[in-house]
Amino acid sequence: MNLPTATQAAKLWLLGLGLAVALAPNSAIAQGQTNVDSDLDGVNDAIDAQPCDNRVSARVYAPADRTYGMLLFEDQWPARGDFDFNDAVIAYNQTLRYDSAGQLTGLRVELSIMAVGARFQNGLALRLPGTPQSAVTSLTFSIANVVNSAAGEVRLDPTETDATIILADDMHALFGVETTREWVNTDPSLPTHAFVDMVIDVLLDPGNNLSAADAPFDLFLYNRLNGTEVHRPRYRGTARMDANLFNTVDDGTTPTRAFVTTDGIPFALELPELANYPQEGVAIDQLYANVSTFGASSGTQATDFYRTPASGAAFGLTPPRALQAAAAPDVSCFAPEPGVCGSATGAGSVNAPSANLCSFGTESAVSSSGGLFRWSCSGNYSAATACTTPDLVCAPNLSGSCAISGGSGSQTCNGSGTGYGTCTVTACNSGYYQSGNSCVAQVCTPGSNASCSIANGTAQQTCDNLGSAYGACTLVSCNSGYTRSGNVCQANSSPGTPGVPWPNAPQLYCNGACSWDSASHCGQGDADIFCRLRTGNASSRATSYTTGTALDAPGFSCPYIGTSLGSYPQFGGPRYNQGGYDVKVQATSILANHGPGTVIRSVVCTP
Amino acid sequence: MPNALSNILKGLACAGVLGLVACAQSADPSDNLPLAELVVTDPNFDFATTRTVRVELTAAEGAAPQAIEVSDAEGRRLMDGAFRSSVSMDLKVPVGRANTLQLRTGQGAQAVQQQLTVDERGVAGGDL
Repeated sequence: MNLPTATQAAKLWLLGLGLAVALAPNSAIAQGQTNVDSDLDGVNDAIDAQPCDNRVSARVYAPADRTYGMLLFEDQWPARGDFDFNDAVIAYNQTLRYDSAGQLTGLRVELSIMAVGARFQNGLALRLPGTPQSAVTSLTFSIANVVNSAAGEVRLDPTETDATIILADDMHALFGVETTREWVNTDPSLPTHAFVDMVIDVLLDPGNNLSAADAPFDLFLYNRLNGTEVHRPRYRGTARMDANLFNTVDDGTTPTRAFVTTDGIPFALELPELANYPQEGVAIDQLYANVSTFGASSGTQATDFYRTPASGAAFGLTPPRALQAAAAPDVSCFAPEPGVCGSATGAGSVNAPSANLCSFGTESAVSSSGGLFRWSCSGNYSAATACTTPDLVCAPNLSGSCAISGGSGSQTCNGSGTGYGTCTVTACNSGYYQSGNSCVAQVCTPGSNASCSIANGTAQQTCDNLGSAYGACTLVSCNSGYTRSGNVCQANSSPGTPGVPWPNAPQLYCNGACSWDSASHCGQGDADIFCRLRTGNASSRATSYTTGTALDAPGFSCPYIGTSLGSYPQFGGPRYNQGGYDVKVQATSILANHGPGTVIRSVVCTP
Repeated sequence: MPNALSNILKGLACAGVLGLVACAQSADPSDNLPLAELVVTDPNFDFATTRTVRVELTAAEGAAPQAIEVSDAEGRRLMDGAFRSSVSMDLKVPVGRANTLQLRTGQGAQAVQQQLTVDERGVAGGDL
């Protein structure tokens, strides 16, 4: 716990006087100091049961701190009932408050009305024997789970001499069954009801004669319609009951005990702890086989008979609500010191903050809801202070890795920490290449070659640098009998066949007057004619060529020599200054009969 | 023999042998006779499941008040706080479990635990 650093004076409002007295620092209790007595009752705060209330320095509990006892009633008095002791089943706890001189100054009564197995309209009241009404200086109460709120008016009964607190005029009405008078929580075939919980605080003038050993005092049933009441045997009825009913029918009241049958069986039974109670119509000795032994032995044997219930005889219900810790001290006289949220507040955090939660006070556990981390800081003598900070998706402006299929990526948190931007590729795995903001599986190994198909030849294709695709299929060589022409293979043809192209013709003689292009040299025009003759296509052109001396090989010859292929006008004829001459070809050596004149060779043609 | 008649005879025997000494009509409590047939003849027995134990705590003259906590044999807290001087307090304790009490005085490491024995008068004493 963070303790206050500054001295803060506390104020005690002395009861009834409204006199404020400055006191020592309110951290005295927290620090365990023993020299501060805030309520000036002679008992230091550290050991005072109520350090801010000079009427209370000690408490006595009945049956024990945070422990319920039980009262079970039969309401047929003065006639014997069915001994199921469930006409009213009430769990109780009482805290008796004493001042430092040992005088009783108040009590807290906590009741949980668990069952009403009655048909009569019974009321419930608490009498403080021997305590006049005038001794009660304050009566406050709270009540929970009441269906008919009009039934839960707690008040003093003005007609009684002893202080008698009416808790309910009609117990059925507490559960909303005042019309039907049906059984409440005793018949398993009927719906169950939430227990009605009451907390009654009574302030008393000191000097009363109440003894803690008598708690829960005279808690009794009354029926104003027939004048009957049911008390524990140690108590007589109130002035409002019909006392003429004593010792009538089955009542065996004696000077030492009242509200017992002629056989000495009580109509109200107290148990010192929570226990099962019988179902409707099941006698209590069927639930607790040893209760008769307890009675027959005058309470010397089977003293804990209520701890061994028979199976199937009890009405099964969960226990009443947990009693609050009566030991919690009253610190109302101390100046409140609220908890203060720490620097973790409002800063935002991706993970639940664990440091700097509170700058003052004790921090609670951190939870997350509604986009916020939540915790509280509990100071002293005040309600806890709520603290929050945004529950962020990511740290603002920080980058982090993200998932990319086939690679890795990076994303950056936005400035408010509410989300990331786009996941961007930072690298692709082996076997993948980047395409835009994706990694795509490679279809081939970058730079590698693979064979491909070109008719009548061999060809290969080369994978691009990314591995995304192969390039064009490129002819490597043509099969035997075929000659490369560009990127295709063309079948070889024999020279001298009219009308048939000669794709692999090695040369065209164009020296001097034999030129198709000009009278003096071999040129582009000769190369174009050479391409048309090789391909058989009148549109073919030479994209490159070389000239040189005639080869010792066949070829297209000068028009004056060789075998005529016809005029070939579609291939560009007539020759330059040689109009009318046919195209000539010879299968023998051009060099042999033409001499080493100039020829076109090594021509590259368009298809 | 019917239980009721048996119990009447047992009761008469009880009265004849013990005179005015109170006794329950069932001579053998382990009989577990039905509650409807039980006759309780002890005029002072009221089916109480608790009894009173008086705790007398004596403080030394002039001593400062001390923290007090009294628990029963099962550890259930019956009283706590502090008084300015000696105190005598009646507490209620379940019958059959009222032979001893635990008294704790002081706080923290200085706390002292004592076991108080309840005498035949129902009184347990201790020093503060």
